[in-house]
Amino acid sequence: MFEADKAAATYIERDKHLVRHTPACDREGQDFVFQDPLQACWESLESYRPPLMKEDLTKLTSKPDFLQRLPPELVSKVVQYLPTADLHRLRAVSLTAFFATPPSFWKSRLQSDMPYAGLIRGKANPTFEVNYKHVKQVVTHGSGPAAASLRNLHRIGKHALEVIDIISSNLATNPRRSIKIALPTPPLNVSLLYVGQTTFVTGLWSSNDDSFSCGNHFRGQPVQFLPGGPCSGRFMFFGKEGGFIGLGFKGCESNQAHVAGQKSGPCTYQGLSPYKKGDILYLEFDSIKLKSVKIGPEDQLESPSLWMPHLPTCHTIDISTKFQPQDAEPRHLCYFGNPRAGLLGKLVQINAFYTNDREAITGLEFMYCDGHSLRWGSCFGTCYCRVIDGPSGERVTTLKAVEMDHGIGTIMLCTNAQRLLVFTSASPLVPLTANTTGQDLDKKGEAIITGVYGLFRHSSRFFPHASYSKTIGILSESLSAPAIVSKQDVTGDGNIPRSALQDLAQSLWKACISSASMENVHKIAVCINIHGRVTGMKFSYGSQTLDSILADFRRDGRKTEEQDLAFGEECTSKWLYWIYNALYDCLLANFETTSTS
Amino acid sequence: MSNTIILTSSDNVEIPVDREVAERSILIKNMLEDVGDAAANEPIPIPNVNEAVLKKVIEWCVHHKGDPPAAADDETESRKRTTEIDEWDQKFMQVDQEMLFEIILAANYLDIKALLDVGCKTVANMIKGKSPEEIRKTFNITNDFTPEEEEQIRRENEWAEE
Repeated sequence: MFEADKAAATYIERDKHLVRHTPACDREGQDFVFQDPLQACWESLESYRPPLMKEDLTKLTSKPDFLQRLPPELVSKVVQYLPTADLHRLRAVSLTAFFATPPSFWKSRLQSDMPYAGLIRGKANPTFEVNYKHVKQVVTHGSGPAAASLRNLHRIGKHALEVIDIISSNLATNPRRSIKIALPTPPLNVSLLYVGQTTFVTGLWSSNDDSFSCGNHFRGQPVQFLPGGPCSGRFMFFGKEGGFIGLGFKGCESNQAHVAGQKSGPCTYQGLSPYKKGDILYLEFDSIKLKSVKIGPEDQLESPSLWMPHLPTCHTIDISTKFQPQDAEPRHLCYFGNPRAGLLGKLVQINAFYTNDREAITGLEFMYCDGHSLRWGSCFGTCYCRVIDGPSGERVTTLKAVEMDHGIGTIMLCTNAQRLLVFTSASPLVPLTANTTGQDLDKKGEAIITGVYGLFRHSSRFFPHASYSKTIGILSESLSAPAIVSKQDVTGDGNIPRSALQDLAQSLWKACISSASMENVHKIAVCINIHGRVTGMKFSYGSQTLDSILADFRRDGRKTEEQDLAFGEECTSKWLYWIYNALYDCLLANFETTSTS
Repeated sequence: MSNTIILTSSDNVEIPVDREVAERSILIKNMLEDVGDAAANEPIPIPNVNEAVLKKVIEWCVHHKGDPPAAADDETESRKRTTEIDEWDQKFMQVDQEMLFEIILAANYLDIKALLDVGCKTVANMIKGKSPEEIRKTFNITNDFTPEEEEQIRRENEWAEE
């Protein structure tokens, strides 16, 4: 049995929950779920022993070959451009090639290949020195949870470095961040950025007008051409959790659409905004990608509404043979995960209500971090609550229900964090598995549960206002559940230790990205939810520029608190990259350079 | 101040070059600053570079005449490993290996960082993705490992294979 607030499995794939300790994280292009990759302690890694080398090869002598034509400093310059795998092949070519990569080179290379190695903690000896070669061997061939944890981190770090490389080397110094375009649009080039399997819109520019450019163009990343639109029609927007992934237009009378970027994929939203000649298209970019879109007359610019293009698929759980649903009987529907309102990302608690033991559930209540709630059923009686961490990506993936004599007595919700949220009015003596039916939606693809519906009946003489659940069905949608991370320990009173900011030097990335400049930042405010997890940040720059908001930062959130991190004026860091739903510790790791204050 | 200077190659061939082009070489730039304008009319000896290689280097400098000066070396480690090469530079580097290594040596001697980078990246690209045997063939390298040594390295590399 999983308990509500304890981390369970070390690794689970997003779509194959109930698989514990499965290091299936090496497959490229697949998002996955992980819990606390920092559980790798040095002691558990140290027990892994590779075979001993027979002799020290450095004692061997070499004889000249072509590499000796270049002085050592040039040879080392050549080999620095080689990926590690090629280096290993090169050193097997000849003795000269072998000596071209001395131990000092390998140490530096392994350090840069495995920036996460600095996150390994020592249980007994906190001042130990990381043996990078040993860590590399564990990552490559080790087994067990610690090795799997490292391998997971290695994969994330690899992707992270690729994206950092693209961004840090190609970011313009002072790109324009917003632009107003009079409609119809001129022909435009749209710059894109690949992050995982998603292509984000990062910039716009015109090949005809040098002064017409906005956002960022990352060298080596794709560019798509968007021809000029009709005088009136509809603008099309495509987005997902991390930002806008495509935009285009469609004429009023023609069904032909011109779109740059992506217009489909998992978890994709879309929207249409009608426009007429003279309307304004306002686009705002953050330091990486298109952040917001508004359209309309200049004094009435409005954001387009985005919605899921497909209606949810409904699955009915055949819970009761005694209470057959009748078509004429109204079904009570609760669309608690409506993606249009982004409800799943706000869901923090689920309550169930009972009037008596061994009586059917009278309803469910879904509570959100912004204070509002949705109810399914009459919700009469005593409330039993279970927390769920929607802001950090926890989603309900499976629902199982247990029938009793009078209706549904137990509902079990399994989340992508492999937690089981059990609501039961049954006596503990009644086995939960008896008469249990359910739908393991995750086995059918990337589906998560976004709604429940069902029939209620009035049957209690004692509680005339109560109605009891009779049947239950679920709405499921093909939404990619975002990565969920482990419950983090709150560090004492919730303060983020400054030492953590200074110890780490490399960025780690996941799929959804945003960033804020660390230049001249005066204050960082952090929102921490009830589980001690960072849900958002705000960077204040004094009067120089607008604040940067990362992820879900809200002052009025009932369930959040703020921690201010005051940075001195000498802070010289460059950027903080935020990965939505990122691990708390990885968030701290996103500081590229350390504060000097 | 004269706009043209004369470079003398190791085989005593004098090659006139636009001063701005020649100053892509930090060595020549510093030299011209040190000797002053009066002496700049004298031929500048480049004793380590022969005519063919020097002309090739000058060709590169002419093409990259307007490029911004090399930025401070603040690249990240991963960035340093990028072997992306400009299309023109790729064609420029399509020379035999003898010339390629001469260009690298000349770029190093003349202190032309961008050309040195292109040369080293070109060599790295010739190595990338190849097996040890293919690398030997590409660069005509003799395998001077004993069978025991080769086996030992092979086993050691197994640990590192991703």
